[in-house]
Amino acid sequence: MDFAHLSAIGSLIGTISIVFVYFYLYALYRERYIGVWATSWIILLSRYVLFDSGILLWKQTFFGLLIYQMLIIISTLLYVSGIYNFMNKPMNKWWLYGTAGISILIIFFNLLFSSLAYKLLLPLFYGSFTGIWIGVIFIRYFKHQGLGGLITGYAFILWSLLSLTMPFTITIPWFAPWGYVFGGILRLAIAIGTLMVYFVKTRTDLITKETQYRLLAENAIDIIYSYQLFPERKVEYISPSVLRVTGYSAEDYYENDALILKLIHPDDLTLLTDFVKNLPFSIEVPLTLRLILKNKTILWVEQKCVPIYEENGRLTALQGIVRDITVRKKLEHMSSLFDRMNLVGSMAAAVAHEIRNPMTTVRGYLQVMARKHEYQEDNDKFKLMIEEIDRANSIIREYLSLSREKLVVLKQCSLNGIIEALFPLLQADANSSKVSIKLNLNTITELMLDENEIRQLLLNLVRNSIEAMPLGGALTISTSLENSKVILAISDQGEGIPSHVLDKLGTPFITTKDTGTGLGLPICYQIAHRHKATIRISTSQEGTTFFIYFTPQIS
Amino acid sequence: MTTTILKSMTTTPETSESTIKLGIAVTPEEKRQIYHFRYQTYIEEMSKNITGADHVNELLHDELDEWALLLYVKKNEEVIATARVNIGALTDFPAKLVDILSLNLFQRCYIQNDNPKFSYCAKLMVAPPHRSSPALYLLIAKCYELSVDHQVEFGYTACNFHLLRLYEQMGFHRYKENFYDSGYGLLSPIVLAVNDIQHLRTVHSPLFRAARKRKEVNTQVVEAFHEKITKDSPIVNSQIVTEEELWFIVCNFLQHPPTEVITILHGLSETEAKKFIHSCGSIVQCNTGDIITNQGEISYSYDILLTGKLKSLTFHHPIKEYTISGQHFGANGLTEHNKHTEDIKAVDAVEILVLSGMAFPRFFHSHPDIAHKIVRTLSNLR
Repeated sequence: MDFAHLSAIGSLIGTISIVFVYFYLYALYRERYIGVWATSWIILLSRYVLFDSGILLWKQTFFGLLIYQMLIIISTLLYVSGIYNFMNKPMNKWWLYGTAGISILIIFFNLLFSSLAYKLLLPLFYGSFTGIWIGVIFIRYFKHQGLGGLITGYAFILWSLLSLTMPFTITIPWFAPWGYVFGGILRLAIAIGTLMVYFVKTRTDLITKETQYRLLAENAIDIIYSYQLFPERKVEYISPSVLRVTGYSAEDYYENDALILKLIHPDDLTLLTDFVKNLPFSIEVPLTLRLILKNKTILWVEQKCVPIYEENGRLTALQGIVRDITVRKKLEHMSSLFDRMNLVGSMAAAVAHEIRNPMTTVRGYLQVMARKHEYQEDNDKFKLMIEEIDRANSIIREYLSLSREKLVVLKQCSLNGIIEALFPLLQADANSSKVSIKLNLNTITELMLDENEIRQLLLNLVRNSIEAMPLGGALTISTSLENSKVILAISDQGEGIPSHVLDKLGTPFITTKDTGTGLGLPICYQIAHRHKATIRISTSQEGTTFFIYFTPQIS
Repeated sequence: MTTTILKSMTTTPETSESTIKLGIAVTPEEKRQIYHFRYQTYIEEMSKNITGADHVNELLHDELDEWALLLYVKKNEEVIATARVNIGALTDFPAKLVDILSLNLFQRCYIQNDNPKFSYCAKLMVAPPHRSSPALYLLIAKCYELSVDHQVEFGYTACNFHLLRLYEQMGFHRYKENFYDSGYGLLSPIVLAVNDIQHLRTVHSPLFRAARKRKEVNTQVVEAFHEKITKDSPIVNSQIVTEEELWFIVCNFLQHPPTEVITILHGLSETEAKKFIHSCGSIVQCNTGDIITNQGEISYSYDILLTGKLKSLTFHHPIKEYTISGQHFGANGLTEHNKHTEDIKAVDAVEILVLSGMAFPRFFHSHPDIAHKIVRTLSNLR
């Protein structure tokens, strides 16, 4: 084996080792540009192995020569693409257009010239001038990345210049082996220099990212923490924002591992205990609890974390964030205020169900007793009691309608008739309160009414009037016709409605009675509205009258 | 007139809620769905007593529906929002509507066209769970698009006071006195100058997204509109007036610092009160005899008397009047949805400050501390 072969094999081994190093790095870090460079080097290597070594007789055939030329072009273009990727820049599209143009010219030259030197001229010039450009890029852009940038840059320039001489020296027998040796050394320098640049850049990027994350953690509004669970429980890291949120500095937490436990509101300690007991399953739901701060104020916080496991699967730490959610809690409280009406409606639904059950029992016994021989004389009373229980049931349904709009079932009927039918019951109620009821029912047109609702309206207004006369008095229910409107009026002889109550009259849950629900009058307003009627009030120290103005509707 | 337009179809706008679909009703079934949705919203949700409502079939429609474009937004095949647009010449609209909207007034803005087309949008409503969804924007944008397609210069609608801010943000202008529509209450007629792209930009209207793409827009009519209608108008547009200007106007009406005379502002600093009024308030003029609140209807605003005198029709004796500047009247519809218990009428020309319950949720997300103070004050007032 002569010197020429030895030098060629040495150059080959150097290039193979570079390819291995690049592929190893790509497998390790999956950086795209490393993969691109590795591919570029392997194409170059294949050119040496298959073509330059003489295994394939490429110089004699058109396609053999073309493949050889294209291997130079493609490997060069790939390297350029890797450079752009390495610099985080998009590749200039003129590289593609230029390469395509040169490829066409190469085919044209292959057809035009017979000399190999001329045929190799274009691809070699392309490769060499691109190599010089790459060298300049490395020297200019990566000079701050240490010696690697300069080594790579100058090695690229020298290798390119050496390649430029190839068409003229390839036929000089004594120069070719030295060409392989210098080429191999320069390629080795390029590979080593590129690796140096890569490592320095990776290190710089890591430091930059670490700084960014540190700044993020230190300037975060939320508290970021890492809490070690094993081998001993302690705060590993807590961001400085903890001082602003809790009043204690990060150092206070490092010095006293139990400090966080001291801050937790006594009522919420069980939440934390459960959280710790059920680790790691408990981390799926954010933990919300109250902290008592250094200034003794209470803060709502929510913490979310991720578990950190050792390779053997043991849970060793929790890393997460703690967020001040006091404002959110206030908003939730506000929202709950807004929803109070709906809430009360829902509660009423539940309570109504509970009330209906015992009433059903009472109704059943009344029915049984009504059939007994000894109670036959009181049959009317039983009938009335059962009817009243049925009506109570329907009233409960109406109460529920406060939380949800309900449509009336309107039928043409006589308002006077409804009043007269209800009169015995109203009278019985009034008698027990030493109140007498007078009816003053005039001839009025029939109205479109929901009978049940009007009975409820009457009952509510009459009971209000009775309660307005604790010492007794007279209550008048009258009907009349005025300007084609039917007026129902309920008057009492009480002391009148105080002016401070007048402003809020009809507002749900506003009541002056100890046992009142504050729903009676709002229901009356609602019933009137459903009947397209309006309520008018007249009150003084001599008594109060509620007028309900009905507009007769066509059936 | 509308048959040529009724070829329309359904389009799925590009939205994150990909199941939301905007369409124009063509079939009787689609129209019936819309009429039923109106019924659910106006009668069942808003407790309105509307004459002509079909309670048996639970439908709400009128004669304008016969030649209108009925827009709908559906989500998963369920109607969640609707609107109605009528596009036509002056003679196509009922005389009563022409009078209420003063359409003749706008004829004067046209120099070349003596038979211009107008559009009238009504019955625009969105189901409560979707009031923060893109449904409203889709409908308004479609109305705008239809107006542009038909070379309409002015689009009209009318709204209750609590919605004035919303429409003014869309780009509408108030331009004349309110009118009373039985069942719907006191309404303010409003108009959108379709080609006034500069105004849409100024008020940050969502319609500007579509308007800015238009090329070669003729603004002759818009200029005439501003010259003849808005120029000397005393109406305060909530989207154009600055925080300081609005505060100055309110102070002038009240003759005292608002934080002293308006109960709801107690506990707020001047800066906080300014921000609140500017974010939720509209100043509205009402004429003698206007019924401002109706017993039994849900309140969507918190109303404050600035000047003039109001009277409650509910109290025969003692007579209840509202005469003090800064005095609140009606039910609280800002933080709760209460029903009005009084019919309140303007005894003479009044100016009122309407704090919209529609604007308040957004305000309490952007300024929770101020909103919290307001809610607390209102809770204490109960």
